[in-house]
Amino acid sequence: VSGITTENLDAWADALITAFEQKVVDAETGLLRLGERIAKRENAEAPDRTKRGISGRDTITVDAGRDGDISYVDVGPSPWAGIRLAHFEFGTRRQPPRPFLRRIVYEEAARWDPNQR
Amino acid sequence: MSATTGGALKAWIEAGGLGIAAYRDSAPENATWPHVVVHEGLVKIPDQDGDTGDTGATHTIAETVQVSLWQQRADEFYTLPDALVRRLHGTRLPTAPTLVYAVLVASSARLPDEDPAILHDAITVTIHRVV
Repeated sequence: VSGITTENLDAWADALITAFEQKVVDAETGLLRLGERIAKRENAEAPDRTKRGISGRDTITVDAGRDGDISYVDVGPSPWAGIRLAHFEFGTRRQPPRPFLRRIVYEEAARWDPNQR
Repeated sequence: MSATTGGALKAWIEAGGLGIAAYRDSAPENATWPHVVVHEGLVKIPDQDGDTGDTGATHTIAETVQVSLWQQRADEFYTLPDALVRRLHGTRLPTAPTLVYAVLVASSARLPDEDPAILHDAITVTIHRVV
């Protein structure tokens, strides 16, 4: 749409709305890619065997969605694996923390370029 | 002056009037309850300051540290985790070996330990400091 006139005001408004909607889609896509990169690394670096013989590999999942106007990407372990990985991540009385969840999130967030698809 | 960031955190916690001892990396077997263990250097992310070609430039990092509060469930001090968060959040660690711009508490999680008689509050802290 070129030059705003009283005749093409509606077309301008439609074009603006379309552009904003595309921006939201682009932002959500970028956020999802970030979540997928984090999950991929976390799955690769999760403990293969915890003390009780449970593997943490491939238990990290990505869930993307919207809560009202807020877009989110939730990256984390499945509930059954969660407490085992929490013991690994934060440590126990007998075992020091071996963080990989926080480390990967911080590293990937620092590298993230929201304009890169 | 402390030799390490973890040592500066230990000194800051112990001087806070909370009545708890703090240790670096691990607590001795006979440590009194409750106590704190500081795990420093979990992640160090350099800030993008653009001075990569200047060897004399001051560079800064965001260092992630875990401050673990260990309590016996039977003698739990319910207000202690929040008091520790208040003590940490916003300090600049006056005895740190390098200039600290800010200590920010990123999260605090109450976790069940493998030993059901023990409680663990894991406080994740980001220290913005000169490297």
